[in-house]
Amino acid sequence: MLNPSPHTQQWVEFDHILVKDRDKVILNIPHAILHLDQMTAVIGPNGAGKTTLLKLLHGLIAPDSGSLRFSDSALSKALVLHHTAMIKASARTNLALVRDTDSKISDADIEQALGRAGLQHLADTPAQKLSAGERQRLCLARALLQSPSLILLDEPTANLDPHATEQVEMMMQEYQQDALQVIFSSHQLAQVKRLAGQVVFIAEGQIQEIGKTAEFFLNPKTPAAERFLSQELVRT
Amino acid sequence: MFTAFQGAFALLAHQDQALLGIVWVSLQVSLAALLVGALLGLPLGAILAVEEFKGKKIVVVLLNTLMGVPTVIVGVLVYLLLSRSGPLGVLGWLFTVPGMIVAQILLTTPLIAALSRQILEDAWRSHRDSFMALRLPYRSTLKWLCWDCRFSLTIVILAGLARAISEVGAVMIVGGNIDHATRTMTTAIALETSKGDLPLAIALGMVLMGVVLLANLLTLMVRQIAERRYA
Repeated sequence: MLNPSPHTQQWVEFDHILVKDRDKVILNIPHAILHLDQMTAVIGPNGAGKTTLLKLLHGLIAPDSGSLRFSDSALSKALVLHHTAMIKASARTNLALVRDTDSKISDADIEQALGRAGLQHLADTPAQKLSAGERQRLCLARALLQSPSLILLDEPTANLDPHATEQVEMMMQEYQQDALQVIFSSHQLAQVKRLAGQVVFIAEGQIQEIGKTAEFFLNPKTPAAERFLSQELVRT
Repeated sequence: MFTAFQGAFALLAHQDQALLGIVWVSLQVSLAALLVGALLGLPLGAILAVEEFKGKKIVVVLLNTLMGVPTVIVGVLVYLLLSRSGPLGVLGWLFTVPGMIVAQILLTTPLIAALSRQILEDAWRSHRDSFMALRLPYRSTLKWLCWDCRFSLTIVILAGLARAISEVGAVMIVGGNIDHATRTMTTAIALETSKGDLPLAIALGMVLMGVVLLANLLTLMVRQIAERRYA
């Protein structure tokens, strides 16, 4: 269950993508290719379209026009949203929801996922009573149970304390080591530098830059990225 | 008045057969109507909560209106349906318990559907994206949404019971208030009070209040359990 396919040269191609909310353009990507061979961070100002991009990659939303093409059309994806409401039930039951999508998931798989998230001792605790960090780890464990090849995380450590952030980051790094492709959005540039090998900078609904993390921080190619980095770095 | 209460307590203490028969008919009708109302109303409410379609707002307004429709109107409607010349006259259900159950189903279903829709729609707003991200099948979505709201839905069902057991108009018209056959607590109270037989009316009133009180206590318990576990 927890043995995804090894890293291969995967990519996704955006072709004339347009996503709108009524008349407002949320995403507009004429053309871009994103390679999925390393952990990727999606960064940009609030309202830039980061969450929409992740939802689009997952397939939760469809573009109003244009197409999205994966090198492997069967690439399985899981998405962990920024605000994931838990049902009023135990942590184990919240994890077991995914059984309805895959009957092959066994009790042992669920226990293994709980253990991996460090939540075995809280398995019978109502999910509402978990801390923010524990809930986030539960969400990550649930995403992993879906056996994805690509895992998309929307601000996975927002509102978490440093210890919980560290635990979530460790899980993300384990995923990447397990040959899962990880794409996450974040406002924490230090975290992006720590984790990501590649950065997608997005502003006003457009992908402005895709590049290696070190290069991007050292030498941003667009004025929008320069402005964003100077403001964000001053803040951090 | 003191004598009337004394008589009422005596009837209750001696488990008067006439009184018990009336209570039994009432519970039979209301619980059956509640069961069918819940089986129809909850899925209807859940579907309306998660589905988006043209004219949904009109359906919701209609449902909310039906929730508060006067019981005598429902009584007249069911009377017309079940009367010998009506479309369902062949069933022979007029002035019978099944006929009264049908009338009360028409009262409980919209109430349960309307209240559960509101509760489930609020929950759906919270869970929509995560359920869709998990790619839960449609039936699973409804199942887990109802499970998440189970405590609130229990209260909705108890509200349905209160609506059914306390109504008088529909069962009076459709049941005919026939002694030992279709007489319920509410119709008997109305009749016995008009006849001046206050002890039986008061005794039935006490039982009715007891049932409503029990339903409210259950509601309170459910709410407290929910708050303790998932506050």
